[in-house]
Amino acid sequence: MLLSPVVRSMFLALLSAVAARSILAQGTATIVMTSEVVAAGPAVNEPIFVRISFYNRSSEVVLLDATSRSDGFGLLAGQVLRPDGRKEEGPKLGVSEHRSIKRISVPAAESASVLLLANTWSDFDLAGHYLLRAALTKPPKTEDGVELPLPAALEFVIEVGPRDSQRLERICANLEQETLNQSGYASAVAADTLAYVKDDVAVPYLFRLLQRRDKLAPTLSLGLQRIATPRAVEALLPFVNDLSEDRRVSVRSALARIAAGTKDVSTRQRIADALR
Amino acid sequence: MRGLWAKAHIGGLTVNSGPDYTFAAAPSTVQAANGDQVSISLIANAVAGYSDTLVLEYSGGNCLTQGNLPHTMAVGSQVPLSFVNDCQAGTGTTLTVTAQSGLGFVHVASIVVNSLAQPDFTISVGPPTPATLGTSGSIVYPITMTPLNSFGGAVTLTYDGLPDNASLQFDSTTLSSGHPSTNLTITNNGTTLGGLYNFTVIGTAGGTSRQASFPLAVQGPTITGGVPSVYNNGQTVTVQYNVSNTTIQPGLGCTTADQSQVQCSIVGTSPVTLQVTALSRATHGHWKAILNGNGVQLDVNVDDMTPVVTGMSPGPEVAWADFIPITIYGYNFTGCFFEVEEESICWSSQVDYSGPGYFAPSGGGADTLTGTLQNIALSGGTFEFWADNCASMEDGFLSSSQDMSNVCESPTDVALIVDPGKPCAIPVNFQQNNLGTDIGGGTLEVHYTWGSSTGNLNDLAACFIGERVAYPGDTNPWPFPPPFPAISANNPTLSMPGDIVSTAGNFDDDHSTPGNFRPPYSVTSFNTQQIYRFHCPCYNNDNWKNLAPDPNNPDKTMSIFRQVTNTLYPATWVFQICKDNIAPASTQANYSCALIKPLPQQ
Repeated sequence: MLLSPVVRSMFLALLSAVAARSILAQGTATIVMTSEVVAAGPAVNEPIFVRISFYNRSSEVVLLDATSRSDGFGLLAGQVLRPDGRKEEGPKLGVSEHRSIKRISVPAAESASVLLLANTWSDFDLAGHYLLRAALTKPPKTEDGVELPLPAALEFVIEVGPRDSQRLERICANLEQETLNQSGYASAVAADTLAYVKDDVAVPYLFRLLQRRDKLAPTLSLGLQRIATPRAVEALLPFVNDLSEDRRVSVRSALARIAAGTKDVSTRQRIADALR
Repeated sequence: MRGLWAKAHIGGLTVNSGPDYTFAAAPSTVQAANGDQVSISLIANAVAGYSDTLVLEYSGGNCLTQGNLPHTMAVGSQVPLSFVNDCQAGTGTTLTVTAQSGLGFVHVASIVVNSLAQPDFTISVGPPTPATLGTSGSIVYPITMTPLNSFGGAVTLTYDGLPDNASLQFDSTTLSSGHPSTNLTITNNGTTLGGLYNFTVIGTAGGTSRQASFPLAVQGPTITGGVPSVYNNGQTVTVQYNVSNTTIQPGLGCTTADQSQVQCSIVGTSPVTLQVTALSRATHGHWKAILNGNGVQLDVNVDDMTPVVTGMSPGPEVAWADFIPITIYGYNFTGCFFEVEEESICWSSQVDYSGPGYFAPSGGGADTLTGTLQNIALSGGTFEFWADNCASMEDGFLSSSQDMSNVCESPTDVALIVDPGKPCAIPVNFQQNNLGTDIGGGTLEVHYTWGSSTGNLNDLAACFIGERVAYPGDTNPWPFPPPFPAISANNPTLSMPGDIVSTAGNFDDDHSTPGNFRPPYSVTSFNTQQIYRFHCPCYNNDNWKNLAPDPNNPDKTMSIFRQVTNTLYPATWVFQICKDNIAPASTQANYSCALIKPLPQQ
């Protein structure tokens, strides 16, 4: 997931920029990867952005194939070791099959970087240490097409603090405004970031955006589907017969998946009644 | 040898003592009407073998014009001479021609022109019998043609001013000097209105017309009052007429020549009271309301209701948008066409028009019109709005009728200037750039590209490009029965916003079947329908617009076909996924496919 400069600056403004140094894996490869968490002291359920930088220590331009799917498959892949000992793969398989074609050109002796929304790899729903391991999925190449050795995988730690509901509210409010005030890709990225706030706090923000931005309904509905609480279900129900196909289809699908995944009989019944 | 002959001049006579010539005009006297062309011959005959060239000089003939006069002629020849007689009738003139030979022999010829008056004629009408045209009778007028100035032609009779519901007959429509008189019979068919009419008999011969006018007294019903203007706005007006000398039969009603435009009915007989309705956009002018039963016709004037446009909102300038809601203010809008002009393109809200912009009315009333200006060219423009109450488009570009007080077009327009400002960027030239590629694992990869209408892909930052894929069945068609994987999917699936980066100008669409195929395998297949589309805030009201396969046909889709089959030799289960290509068939195959062969063992 690449983040627009607008969203990036928003986060930089929201949180003071204190970097958590990566656990460096240098090796002898042409490209050296480093990481930096773009915010100090992230707390439970907050969006966490990590800047992954690629330093080219050769004397010629190196190209990275950053072609990626919307679910993140492409440039990077890795694992997350959570505080509870569970290991998750990143990124997660999504329904989309589109791939945006992109190459990152890294000049000699210079760096290039991307922002990774770490929440696309794992929930950060527990306080504690998260160990992340990220690697390039394809070897870098020279401009002549010569493949270079893959750099060693990058490992780094993200320390997540206890849940801070007030700060979550502020983050959601800012993302809501960003979604409304921006357009196109920048708006979509802000909505997508909000949709990864897997916390009941995000429900009213997602609901209001769902009301006002039908073209973003697939993303916003998915956010409510991830939360999947009774409050999230209530936020989806008003749109099951919406005139906008974008809203109607997305909401009905989200509700169907919540129903399929919940053990709460009354929620399942309520959704079944609504979808009838 | 010429010099050997001498000439002696005695008392004005020239006596030739040797070779000479004679000189004369033929004819030397002509009778010509004013305006006639006259042709004469000049004749020079040799005497005693004389041969020479004569120089001709002219004098007199002051009222002769357009002369064609020779200036030399040979002795022993005859040459033409012509002119037009422009002398007043009863006068005359003499043209003198002097001929002089090389040896100095001089002879003179004179042409006497007597100017006469043109042949003419008069038409006269004698006293009628009887003196008045009765309600249902006839009246006979003697008509006489009198020749003047030796007129000898034939005169054809016509007429003007015959009252409505009367007819006429000439005993003979042609008169001549040998047959100078005839009778004109005018017959009242029973419903001619009473009064004194001015009737004219016209006689024509060649380019000359002479006429005689005379009063024609008719006994019959008389009508006074009424005749106000009825506006063509669909409203009903009550008009009263005083009708005498006839019987109005209540309940029979009245009719008009074209009831699709003007309708009437009798609501009273003394005075005769009509309720007249000129429907919207009825042709302006004089109409007749016919009282059924006795045929009396009443004049009904239909006038245009002049619509007046006073203003519009927004305006006078507005930033470019694909949909611009507009309200036009004014009055007398009932029944109007509203027309919009952008440069040289004119159209009406009631005309099916396809062009670089149109106005779609959505409502309004007598004093407002609401609607939307749509599909405006990205370059913007100036749009002028006016109201038109004319019966046809052509009338709308003319001024009012000559005899009616109102004009059918709004006297003033309102204009909206659509400023293109920053051009609205939309994706264009969406193309498939390769045949679909089998990239393994049963995945078909197709590469697409597009550009920006502004030429700069970065201008597409506010746009989304996406896809819509519809599966068979109503809702949630997956999981299908084995062997397809049990993967649920939205139906239709809508791409996530931002999935396809609009500013990138390209993307790969990978079509696969996520998940594991489920044994036992069986032969089965299904089809999905796909479109690519976009929306931009500055275009189409931010609604989705198709990019492919056909931007102009929203119902056309691409097909993605998934199939599980088996081959016999060797017996192998195979998965195949195929998709329509959107490139022209002449340059690429219509279909691309990817395979999983064999599917995992059962």
